[in-house]
Amino acid sequence: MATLNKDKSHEMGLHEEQLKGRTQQRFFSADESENLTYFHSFDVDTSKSATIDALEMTPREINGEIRALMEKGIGDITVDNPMSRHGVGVGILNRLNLTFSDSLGYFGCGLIDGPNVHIKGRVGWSCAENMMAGTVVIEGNAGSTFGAAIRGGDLVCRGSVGARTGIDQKGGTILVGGNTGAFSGFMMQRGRMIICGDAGMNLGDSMYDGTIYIGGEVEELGVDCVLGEMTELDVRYLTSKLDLYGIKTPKGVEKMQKYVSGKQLWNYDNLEPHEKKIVL
Amino acid sequence: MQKLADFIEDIESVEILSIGNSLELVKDLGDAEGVSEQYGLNSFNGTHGIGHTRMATESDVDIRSAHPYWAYPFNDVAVVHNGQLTNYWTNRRALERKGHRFSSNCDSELIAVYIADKISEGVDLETAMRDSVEFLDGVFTYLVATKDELGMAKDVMAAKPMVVYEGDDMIALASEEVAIRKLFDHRIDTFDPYHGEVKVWQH
Repeated sequence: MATLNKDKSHEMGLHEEQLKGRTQQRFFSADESENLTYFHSFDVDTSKSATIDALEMTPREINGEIRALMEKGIGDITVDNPMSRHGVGVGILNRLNLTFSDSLGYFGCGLIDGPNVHIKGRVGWSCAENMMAGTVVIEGNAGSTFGAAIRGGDLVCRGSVGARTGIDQKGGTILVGGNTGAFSGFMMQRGRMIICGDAGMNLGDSMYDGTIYIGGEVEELGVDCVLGEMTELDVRYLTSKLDLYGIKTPKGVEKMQKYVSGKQLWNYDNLEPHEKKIVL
Repeated sequence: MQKLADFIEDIESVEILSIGNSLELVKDLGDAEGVSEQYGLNSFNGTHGIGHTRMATESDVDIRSAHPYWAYPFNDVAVVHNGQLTNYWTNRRALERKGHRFSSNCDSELIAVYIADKISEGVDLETAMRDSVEFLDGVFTYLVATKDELGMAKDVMAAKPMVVYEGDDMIALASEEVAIRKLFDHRIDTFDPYHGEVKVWQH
């Protein structure tokens, strides 16, 4: 059972007190960690493979079939002919190698926690929204609100993405090989966003925290977003991340610009969830 | 033509849905498949077409408020629109003072009248659409069809979806790729236009 280091956790912004009244909020207690389970989370074997032909299937049927295969322990699933359908590949809460042989519609691969997803096409709006962990790699372009409110994992688009990329981002990494649209990083709170191409107007508008790296031109910075100082650590991080996915920036990593929040918030910690676990 | 149109429009319960030489407007109540079967849309021949299924939010569910909108009494300008215009009444009154007539209370009609007004003044479609991005306030993507041109415009917030496919022999646009994917037996490369973007294709 994990032991809570109260002094250090308080120092880093974690709480254990419980509020009272109608707005009562229960905070995570390390003593209860063994009771935390994910429903519909399966132990799968990635050496076992299966293919789904989704040509005549509804999104509900596709998601149901993926779940049924995971329940059988199959850990490597390919979905053929998804036909740009919406809301496919959502709510997967375990490790899984999942491949879509074509494009997805909006809210594809949302609410996931752990799978490695490869999409050999384009994705619509809000791909991987609220993603907690894992990787999602898209070969084509992506729509707006790409990676909305993601909390962890790597979300990679080799093409260009639409407006409001990483809106409300709370962690993880968003990596874009091409350009991003207006209001990218809007209300960003944590995590990292790497855009190899250009960024549209109001980049990082109202961002609380987090880091945005831009390889091309920025049309206009948003309120509260300022130019940061690139460090050796940033260059090493970017080089490592870009190499991992085989993506290059046109001008090289050293020429990328770093953008951060220009305001200091009180009672706010900028630790990633996995970093918080270190102090427990 | 306008005198005839005004005469017909002034007859109670009679309404002109379109006048033109090149475009044919079909508007009715029902789902897309039902309306298509009812009017035999599969038998239509042409170079370009636009369509719209409306979820009514600000005006009634009737044929008058259905898209595409034409710009009374101009020929061959049709518009479909996804979004909400917040300066509709101000600009409608301005255009009415110029002598234009609106056939509905739907904000989308403003776009059609504005574009047609510009074209009637000798402005080309692309310029008229670029001007409209500044003129119109709110969130929108819209398509315009004229006799030989097809255009799309997106608001400066890029708040409404639009997916574009540009092939060698076909242009296809939709709010989402799923609407056009069935036209192809292979994977297609599509993209989202950015904020304030205007594109016009000519036949």
